[in-house]
Amino acid sequence: MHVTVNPTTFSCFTGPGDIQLELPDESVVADLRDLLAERYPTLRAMASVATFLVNHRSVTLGTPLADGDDVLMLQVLGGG
Amino acid sequence: MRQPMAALSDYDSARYQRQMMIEGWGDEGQARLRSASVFIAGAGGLGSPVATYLAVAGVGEIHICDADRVELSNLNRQTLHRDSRIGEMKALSAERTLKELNPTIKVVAHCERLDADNVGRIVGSPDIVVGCLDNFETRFVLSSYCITRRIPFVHGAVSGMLGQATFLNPPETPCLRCIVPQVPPLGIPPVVGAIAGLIGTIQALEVLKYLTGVGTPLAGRLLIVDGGAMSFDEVVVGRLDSCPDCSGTGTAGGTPAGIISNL
Repeated sequence: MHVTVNPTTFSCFTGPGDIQLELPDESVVADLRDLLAERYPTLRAMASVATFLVNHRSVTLGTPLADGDDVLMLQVLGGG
Repeated sequence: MRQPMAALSDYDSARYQRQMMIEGWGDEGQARLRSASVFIAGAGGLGSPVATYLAVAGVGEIHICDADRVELSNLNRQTLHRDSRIGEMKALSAERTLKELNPTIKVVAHCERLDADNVGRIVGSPDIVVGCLDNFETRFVLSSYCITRRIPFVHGAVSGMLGQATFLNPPETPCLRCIVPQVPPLGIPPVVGAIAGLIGTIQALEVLKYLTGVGTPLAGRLLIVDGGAMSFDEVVVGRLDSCPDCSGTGTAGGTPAGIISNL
């Protein structure tokens, strides 16, 4: 399946622009996270604390992905 | 708003002249601000610009809540406070500054830490709540209370040179937990004052827009600011049907249609 990832503020690790990924059928969000960490090793530590939104709704790492999904990587900020 | 709107005084008309010139604001918008009550949770890096700009804009009643005392390490970003006030309660220091900035408004300081047991007593029934907190546990307590009381909640958060803001008002928008289901690890993030100033000012503007009815709220959209790259991204965020906090508030209005812009 093909998914598009918007890395938002993680683009400092991935470079500018969306990321196009090919994943095996029946992949879940955790598989996508692992593939990103493999492709961008400097992202690995940060990817473990990212929140993912699929088609603009937050998901868990076990959420199944589907062909054509839009994925957003969100860095949760806690400071105020 | 809580009180009937009376005509503006000559002082008010002069003081707020420049913002009243904004289309749709006028005497009526200014009178709405004067009659409004805003609760600001946190008198720190975000709370400083939020409270400052709401005070000088003429919001009639500002409640500011913080249980901490002013520390030297706060002063790179918390512009409500001064070196001379180190050791004072932040809420009281904020009250002093805000009354200096605008002696015509009412400022109420709350020197307490919000929790699930006291949130109703402390927050009460303001027209809008602004989250300027440094932890998600209290943010969720406040967000949950606002959902229950149907009070709009303006969320902001910063770390390093990054910042985020959104206007939350379920069921028209997601709630905070729809966007951040899990509490992130607690730590002491780095923060440069200018990013807190930027995000807090955006939060203040959202409050002023809501109270005056001018403009379009940052509703269902999360603004993501990367001060390092100086990029402003806006992403659509939707409600979770299964959200434990807001799923009982009614049907979600509208369907997120996509990442709508890179400003």
